[in-house]
Amino acid sequence: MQLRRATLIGVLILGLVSCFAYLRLRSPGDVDQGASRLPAAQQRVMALAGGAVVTNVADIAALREEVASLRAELLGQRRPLGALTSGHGTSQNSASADAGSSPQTREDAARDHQARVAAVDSEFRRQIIDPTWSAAASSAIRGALNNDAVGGIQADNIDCRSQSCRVELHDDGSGHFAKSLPLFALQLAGTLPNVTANTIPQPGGGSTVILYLSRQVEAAPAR
Amino acid sequence: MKFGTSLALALVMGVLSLSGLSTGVYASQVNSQGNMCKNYDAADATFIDYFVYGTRNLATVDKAVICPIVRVPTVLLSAAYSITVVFDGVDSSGQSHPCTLYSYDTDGTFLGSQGFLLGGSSIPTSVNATLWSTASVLCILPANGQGYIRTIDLY
Repeated sequence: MQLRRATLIGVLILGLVSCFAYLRLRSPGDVDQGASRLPAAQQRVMALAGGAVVTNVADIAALREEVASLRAELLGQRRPLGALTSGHGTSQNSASADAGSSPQTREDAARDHQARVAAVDSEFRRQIIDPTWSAAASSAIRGALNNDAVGGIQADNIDCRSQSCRVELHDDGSGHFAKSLPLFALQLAGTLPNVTANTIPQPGGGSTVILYLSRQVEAAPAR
Repeated sequence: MKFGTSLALALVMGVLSLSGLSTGVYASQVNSQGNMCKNYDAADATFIDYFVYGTRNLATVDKAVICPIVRVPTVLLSAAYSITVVFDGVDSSGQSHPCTLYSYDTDGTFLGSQGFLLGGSSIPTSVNATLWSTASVLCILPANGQGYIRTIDLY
């Protein structure tokens, strides 16, 4: 009788501790990403409840964008999971021998970044335009571009909404842009601290660099 | 009953100790001294001064310094897909001086950045990355040695 009781206690404790261990072993990024999406969703609900005129068609479009965004995030999250389960990369034509033995090849990394950019772009396009913030943010960006230290980067387009701005820049490949771009981001560290970049190579050696500058700080992963 | 209690205690202690070991896997950290930072512009080389524990600017105007982040991503951990640093600096100038953490691809493509303030110490700053990304921090140091970069801890 005592042995059975002890066994039951042991199994119960083992179950509880297994649950605890499982929760600890889960990716911190997964937990964090899930939590960090909540405020954005809450903001959208608040924006809708605030009297914005939204048709059913717009709702469906917003939902589609949300699905695309979640799909892109899922793609990004699958990389660590894939590494745990398969132990090798998914790309067959690796750029280097080192990359072939790694869970995330350079091609995988490029795809993951593109998925992240797609999610950021989708989030940007969902934002309504806040005229006051948009004007102030655009002004700050122009001010940073005109700063002597930044030295002559020209923006092809500046589009600010309510939380972030999309800025198109041109890199001629001479090295001047590479030197000045960090100083541009540094000038805006206080107002638009979070930057996600997408570089699109152009024929002739130059490239178009699209920056998404957000006033929201990137959340640090839980340890 | 004594045997049962002992068995239960042994189970609890065993599994808890295993949980403790798994925590150790996550807690990889690289601590670097601020004196690895150097002048961002070639002309500023003679103004940037070093302590055993850090870097400061002796010019009469603010100067930019660049600090490399030594990164050893562990491929199986999600930490390989973002870069988080705790940056410790001192700013006694009475003004705000910005710093920015940058993430770059191996071919020099800019991936993203996150700004913060020198002197706003011990707040983790994160930027998205890939397994292959490199990182650096660019900081504006106040003039006349009125501030310095002390440590950059990556985890």
